[in-house]
Amino acid sequence: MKEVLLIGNPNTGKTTLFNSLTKSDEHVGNWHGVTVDNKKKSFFVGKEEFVLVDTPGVYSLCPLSFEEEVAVKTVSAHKHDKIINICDRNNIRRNLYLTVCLLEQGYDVVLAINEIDKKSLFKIDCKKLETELGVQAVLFNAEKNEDVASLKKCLTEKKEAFKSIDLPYTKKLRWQKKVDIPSELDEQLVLIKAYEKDEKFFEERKLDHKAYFDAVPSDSVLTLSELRYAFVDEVVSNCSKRVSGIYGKSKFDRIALNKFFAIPFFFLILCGVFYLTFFSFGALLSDGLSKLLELVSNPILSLIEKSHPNSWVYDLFNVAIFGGLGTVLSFLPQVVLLFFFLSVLEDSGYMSRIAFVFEDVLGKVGLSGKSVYTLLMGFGCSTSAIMTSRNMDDKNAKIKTAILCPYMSCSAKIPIYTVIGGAFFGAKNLLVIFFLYLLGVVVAITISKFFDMTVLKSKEQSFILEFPPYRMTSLKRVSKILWKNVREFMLRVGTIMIAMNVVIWWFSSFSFKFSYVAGGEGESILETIGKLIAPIFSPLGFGNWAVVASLLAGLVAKEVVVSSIAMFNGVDAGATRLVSESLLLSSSVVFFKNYASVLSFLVFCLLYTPCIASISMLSHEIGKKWTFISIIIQLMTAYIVSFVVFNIAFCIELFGFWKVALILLAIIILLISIGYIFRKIKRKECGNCKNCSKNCKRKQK
Amino acid sequence: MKTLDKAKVGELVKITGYVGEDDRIFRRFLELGLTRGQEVKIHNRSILNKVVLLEIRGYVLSVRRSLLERVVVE
Repeated sequence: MKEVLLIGNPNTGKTTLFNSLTKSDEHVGNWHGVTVDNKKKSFFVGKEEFVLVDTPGVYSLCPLSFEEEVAVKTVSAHKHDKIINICDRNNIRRNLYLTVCLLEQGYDVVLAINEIDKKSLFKIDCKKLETELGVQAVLFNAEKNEDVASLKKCLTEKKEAFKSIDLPYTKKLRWQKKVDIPSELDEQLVLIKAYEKDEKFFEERKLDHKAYFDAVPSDSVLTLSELRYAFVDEVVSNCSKRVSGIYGKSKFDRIALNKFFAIPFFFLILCGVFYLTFFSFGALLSDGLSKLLELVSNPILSLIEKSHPNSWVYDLFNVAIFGGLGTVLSFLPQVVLLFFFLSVLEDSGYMSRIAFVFEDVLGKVGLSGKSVYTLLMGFGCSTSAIMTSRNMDDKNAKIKTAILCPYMSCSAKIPIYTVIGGAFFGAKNLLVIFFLYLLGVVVAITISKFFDMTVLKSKEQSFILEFPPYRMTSLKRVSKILWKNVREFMLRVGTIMIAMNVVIWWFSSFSFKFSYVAGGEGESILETIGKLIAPIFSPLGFGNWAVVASLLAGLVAKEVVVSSIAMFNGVDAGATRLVSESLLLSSSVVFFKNYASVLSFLVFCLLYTPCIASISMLSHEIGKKWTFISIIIQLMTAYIVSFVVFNIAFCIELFGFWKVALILLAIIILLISIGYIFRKIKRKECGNCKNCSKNCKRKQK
Repeated sequence: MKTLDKAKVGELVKITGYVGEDDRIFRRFLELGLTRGQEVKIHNRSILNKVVLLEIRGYVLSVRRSLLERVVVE
């Protein structure tokens, strides 16, 4: 079995090709560093089996960020038969630099030139390129089947079919002093590595790199890269014709990067996405689905009722399966829609512009513009978003970004807001949901600033980001995205949700003596445990065993919060979106005392510890210590913020909005003026140097 | 000696060399094609002027301005 490596610059379409070749469904996007880890899968060409390895994008064989290191390590450990080097046709001058680096090392390279963009900036003569570089070269579009087939054919051809050339510029490299080169090493390779000043290469071979580095000119790094580029420029001018345009330049950037409009424009897009998901379109689809579920579940339930009258079997189906699960299932359209919009945004190339626009602002709180990508993905699913934090190159910024991810309200929380918020606030729920999302972002920024001022100070970051061209999501991909998300959601409901619902139903229906207590006298197991913990939450307004138990259950998956509340409520099977105001406020168990307690509960759901999957991903990415700290912080902020929100909302309910608003305004003004006075005093201490802050240089002296 | 971070929006400059030590940022610039003799055009700058947009070798690159202190231009 032969192993084939996919390598190329970031955002050249490696994973897209990987998906086409191996018929996989890995995440792709129009952004630098979507793939952050190696992926392996086998595929057949005729009867021969190949294993394809997809790597994160790199610019050369010297890594700068965490994910580049993964790729470079894979290449250097590579004994593989072939490397497929992907280049973007429209940015060929920059992409061939990596090709040259690979050729220097003597790898067997197949040059795959991606022409997925319809607008072509270059016309390339493939045959000529093959002779100039001494490699196989193919033009391909990963979405076309015949292109993929011809690329497959390349893999079976022998290397000898293409006469490898000596890179002409390598003759210009010379040792200035005599050095001993161990006989088992290739002299040319050692020379290049010395020019590159690659310490690792010499370390691995237990050689003293100093002797070699002294034997090359002092500006060797500069010289070598200039020689490589000069060679690439020559090849490109021989083999291609420039048509027009600049890669990644667009007229649309006048708005997207405008000093005044850029940020409002971004928020407008976000608001649009959330409005479509939660209200107009998404809500309509969800209502339709819940009606459909009703139609399906009613006949089944009546059938069970006939065969098992008044037994717990009927309750199991009625409460746990159709009631609890149905509540979650009816949110399928909304969750899928949100993921869909995020994918379109990701494909568009707009994310890089956002990173550019927000780098300034986020730099102030110790994040990078690149964090925007990770945080936006957090609105979809924290678990997969946390993994993308790897494309940060500063360790502290990476940890911060990963920790902040769960504060971005993930899609699993949509049912909580919609069902519970909708039941209590009705049409005003639009404002409530908007408030919750905003609160998550504000809390995240505050925590980031806190970290930046204390333990996780970011270094000056190396923000270097290429701009990809804008792209429309193709129709083929739209259907793929939709299907993928529907499938994932169904899988989630079918496995973890069903299991959790049955478990919770069991705990809430049986007592410690294993007698069935639902609907009758006696305390269930869950009630007993819930009552022990509940008093802790009394200051937040929801010191009620059922609500507390649902929060505990929510640790497994956030949707369970709402499905278990629906269960405890003694659900009517038909009405899946049943949690109505009357049910909650005046049911036998009082879930929420007033509106303030509902709001505080929603805030708690927003901020408290994320699901188990996210936690394990966090500990994988940033280590156990930081995961533990982040959990503590999450619980603390959730508790404190909920407490504050509850009390403010409670006061509003009691005294009316304007009075409370005035008092709050007064408090804020007071705080700001106190802060201002303190700063003045500090400034005087060090001679009024005007840029006074904690890290004032004069003060340190 | 003028460095690239001082260049104004819309200006077209030529890279003549580098200052400072041999670190990863320096290498990254070279990999990205900011070699001597290359012409660079400054396209845009961000709101607080912390990041600039460069056009080089037929593509667009956004870079934190402070990093460009290393690049000498004329």
